[in-house]
Amino acid sequence: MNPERSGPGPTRPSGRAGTTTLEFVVSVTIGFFVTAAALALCAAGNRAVARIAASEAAWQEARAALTQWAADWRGAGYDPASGSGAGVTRLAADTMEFSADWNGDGALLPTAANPNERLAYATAPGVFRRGINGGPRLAAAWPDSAGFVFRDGAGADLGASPPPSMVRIAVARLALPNPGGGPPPVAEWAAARRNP
Amino acid sequence: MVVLWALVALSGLSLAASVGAVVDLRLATRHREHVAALAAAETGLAETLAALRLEPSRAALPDSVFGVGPEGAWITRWFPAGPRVRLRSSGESGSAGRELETWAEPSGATWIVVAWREIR
Repeated sequence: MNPERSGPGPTRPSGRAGTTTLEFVVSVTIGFFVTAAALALCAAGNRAVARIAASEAAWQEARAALTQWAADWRGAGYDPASGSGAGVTRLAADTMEFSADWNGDGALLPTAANPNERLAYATAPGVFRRGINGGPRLAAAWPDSAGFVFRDGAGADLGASPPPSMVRIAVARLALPNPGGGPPPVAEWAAARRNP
Repeated sequence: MVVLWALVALSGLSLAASVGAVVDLRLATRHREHVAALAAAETGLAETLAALRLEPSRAALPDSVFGVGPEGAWITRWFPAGPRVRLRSSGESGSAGRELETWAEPSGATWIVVAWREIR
């Protein structure tokens, strides 16, 4: 038998096992702060992962959209039957409209028989849209801004609204989200149309 | 405990960044291969038109030309279509392949492309 435990007294002598209310409150408070700090750290990590994932997704979507745009622009004016009137109709800093007789039937009528032959690209803050046969088809909200630049065959800048017949090279510029919060990175793709 | 949570969070962050970098690298490589494949297909087209300029009589019958360049391998087939020829040119680089369909017609001593599109 431990004689120290059998003695009466309102206070616990130092060095004894057990917990006072004050110790319990202090330890709970410390535990609360430790847990809060750990959760804050996890939340910060989750936010960083989400930002990286969003940035990667934006770049991948940019690649896919610009690959499609470049292929369309390279083939703009495709007219093997020489009678469809395919060509470039309107160019502006935020708009490109052109056509191509992909199936070679000599017609550009916007029907199911002539899919994707009348094309329009439009940009605005938060929008990079591909319209097919006069209707909007693809709208994405990932670019912070976007626009087109037009050049002739020698690479000279032709301004914001050049005559379509002079333009051979089109450049698409898209500002993408920056996970670091700084200036947005800009994706720039150039494509030269091949048809006369 | 805090150190453990920090390690977990940082590990997740670095894992996500690593996966993202690998995906980005693979996409960039894939993009370069597609650019090279398209260039190879266009090289084949140019080589074929040069061959037809040297021997215009070859345009009268379907035939093909193939080769390997710095961009990749290519093969171009052509088919007579009236005064024109229809050309199908394929280029390959790495795992990427691109194919063009073009129409060319004689212009003096040479051939000019009058219609050009990507098939794939």
